Amino acid sequence: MSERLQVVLADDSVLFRRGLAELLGDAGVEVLAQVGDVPRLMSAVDALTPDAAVVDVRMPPEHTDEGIRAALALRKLHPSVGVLVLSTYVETDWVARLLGAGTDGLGYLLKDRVDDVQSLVDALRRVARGGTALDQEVVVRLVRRGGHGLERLSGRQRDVLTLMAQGLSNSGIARRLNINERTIETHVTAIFTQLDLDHHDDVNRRVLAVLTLLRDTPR
Amino acid sequence: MRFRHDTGDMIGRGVPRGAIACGVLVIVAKVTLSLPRLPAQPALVAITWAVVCSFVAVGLVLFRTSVPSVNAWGCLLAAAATIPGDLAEPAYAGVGLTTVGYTFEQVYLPATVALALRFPDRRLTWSRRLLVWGLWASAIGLRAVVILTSGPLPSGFHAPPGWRTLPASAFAHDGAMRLSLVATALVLAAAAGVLAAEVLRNRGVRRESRMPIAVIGSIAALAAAVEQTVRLSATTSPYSWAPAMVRDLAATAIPVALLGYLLRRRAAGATIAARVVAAAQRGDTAQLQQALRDALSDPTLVVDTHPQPGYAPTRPGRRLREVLGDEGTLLCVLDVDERSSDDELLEAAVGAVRLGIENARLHDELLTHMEEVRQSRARIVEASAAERRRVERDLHDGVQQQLLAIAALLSRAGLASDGDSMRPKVDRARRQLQDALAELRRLAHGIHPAALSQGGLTTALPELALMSPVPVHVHLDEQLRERRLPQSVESTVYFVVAEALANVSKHADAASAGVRVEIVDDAALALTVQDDGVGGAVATKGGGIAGLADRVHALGGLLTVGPAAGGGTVLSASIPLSGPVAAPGSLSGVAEG
Repeated sequence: MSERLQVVLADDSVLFRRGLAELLGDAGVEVLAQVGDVPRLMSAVDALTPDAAVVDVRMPPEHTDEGIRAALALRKLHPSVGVLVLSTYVETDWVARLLGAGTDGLGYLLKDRVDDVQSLVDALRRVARGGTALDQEVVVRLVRRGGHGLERLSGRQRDVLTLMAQGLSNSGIARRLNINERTIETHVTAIFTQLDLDHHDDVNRRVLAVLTLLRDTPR
Repeated sequence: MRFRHDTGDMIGRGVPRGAIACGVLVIVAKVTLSLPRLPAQPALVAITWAVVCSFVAVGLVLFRTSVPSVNAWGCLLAAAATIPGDLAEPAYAGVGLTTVGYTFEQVYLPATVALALRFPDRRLTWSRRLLVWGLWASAIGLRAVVILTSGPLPSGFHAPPGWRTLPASAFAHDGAMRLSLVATALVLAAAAGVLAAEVLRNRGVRRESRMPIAVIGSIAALAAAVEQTVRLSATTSPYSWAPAMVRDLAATAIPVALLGYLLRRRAAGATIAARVVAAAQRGDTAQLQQALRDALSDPTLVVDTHPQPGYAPTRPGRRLREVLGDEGTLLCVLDVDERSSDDELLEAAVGAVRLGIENARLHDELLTHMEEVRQSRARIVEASAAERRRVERDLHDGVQQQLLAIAALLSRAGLASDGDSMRPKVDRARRQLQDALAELRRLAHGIHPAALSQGGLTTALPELALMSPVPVHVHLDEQLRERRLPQSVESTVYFVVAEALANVSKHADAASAGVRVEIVDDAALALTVQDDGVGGAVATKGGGIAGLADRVHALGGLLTVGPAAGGGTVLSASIPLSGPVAAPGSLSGVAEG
């Protein structure tokens, strides 16, 4: 990965795509290409090998879930390229399908997050590094639904899990919640215990925590 | 919409004044002319009076029925035909009337036999007519020979004073007497056989209605034949009066038998009319034909529901009767036996056929209209679902992306305006835009959720359950994973569940709720939304559920809301899956625009 994050944008709305490209450009991200459909996205990624691709969910021809399918295909064809899916809506079904087979290098954000360019670029960097980024709306909705041991968590533990599921590190969570990192570590350990994730290494446990949220998302 | 109920007036002709006058005249003449016999044979005379009166009465009644009037006249004739017997009495020998009386003494035989053989038809068949002529010849024609001759056999003729017979005519006299008795007996026996065969040949109502007259008639004819034979043998046995008694008693029963026929027929008339209407209404030509054959006593009747242009009677002696509909359209043609067809009954039957066919047509029209209305309603719901989907798509592709582009632009402004005096204003614009975007997303989702377009009910309903503050358990039929339902059904089910879950969270005070969707027999979708709350919910007019119930009805389904077993409320809906499905590609065509 070069120092400047290199991305390819795929969105059939030219207006939004341009706005996003300019915003990312201003934030120091290099936009290698902008495309309007899945075939062009595939060939652009083939040709340019970016660090990450930003993919709209609804694209031609059916305007339903082309972006999700393209993201999964991209991850299979180019494991080094992170994919951040952007959507106008929170649909847990899409998220569940996107992250169902694995969370590495995948992210799902509402398009509204263009408002917070720093978070957006953070999320892009995370998926480009092979991490995960999940929109807080999705996490809030999943956590609110409960189940799978989630009801055993305290309010603060849920907050931590929510941020963890969004892909934030312990220090990131500590900054966001404005409490010290040691406390966060205690919370995270407690969460793993509550969710029966004790026997896995740390990275996997973080991923599994997200999957816990998604696991019983009705399909 | 109007159904016809008039089946035509089957009965109700008036009695001709001439017939009344004849009847009165016959009774008066009979009573007057038989007075001389009264002192000697009061019982026999009383019986003949009763016979005459009942024949006259039944004859007059027959004029008021659909039976051809020739039968009514036949009754009056049979009554009148008993009068010559009185004139043959010795009292009238002085005025010379015995010649006429004796000659025509047995005229009641052909008159009564003709009546029994003909009834209830219009005319006699040729073979039967021959029998009647035979009776005329044997019972009356030969009497003329008898009174003009003389011989050893007692004839019972009371000759008027000064009556001369032909000389040396003993052979002719006795021969005519014997021939008359034998021939009359034979013809009467034949008539009895014909009447008995009539009963055996016919079936059903026709047989039942003709049974009394045929049985009584054949008994009377047989008794009369025996009586002729007794006279021929000139026996003096103590029971030689018996056949005459049987004959007279049977003759007394003839009018009763005629009345029995009328009553049975009248009862059958209503049933037959109902049968004709019902058969015509069912559109079953074979059944209609059989019903008409029974109704009109015409086993040769043919119903032609698709007459060729220029159709004509199949053969001579037949008649065609067209049955026209209300608007003058030709419904069918009846091909009937001209001789056996009775105008009044035929018209009544035609009315019944028209009524039945028209009813069937109106019924079909009604069903067609109802089906059109149902389809039209279903199309409206379908169009409305497609329209909602299109509007959501327009919002998504249009204004939502534009606003998101503005959000990106404002975000750039935020980056550029660090420490700038514009910063607070830009931040405010960004916050307002975020609210606007959230509101727009909520609105678009309410118009048509993206999950429903993309994944159908299996995707959209769990998503809906996820957003409910009350925990919702969703059970979906496995088949739903493999097949997509018509768009109108999907969107109706989705919004019914959305409204029901909104009500549960607002009013039910429930701990949990359940949504269940099943495909029943591959033909209908069954939906239940149940909660364990306080219950008491009803679909109020104008309420959200009532509006959705209308959509369910428009799809040919049914929606009910009521108390659940064990408390709470249960909403049940069933929607047929046979509704119109949008043509493939038509939706994407709309959405591309």
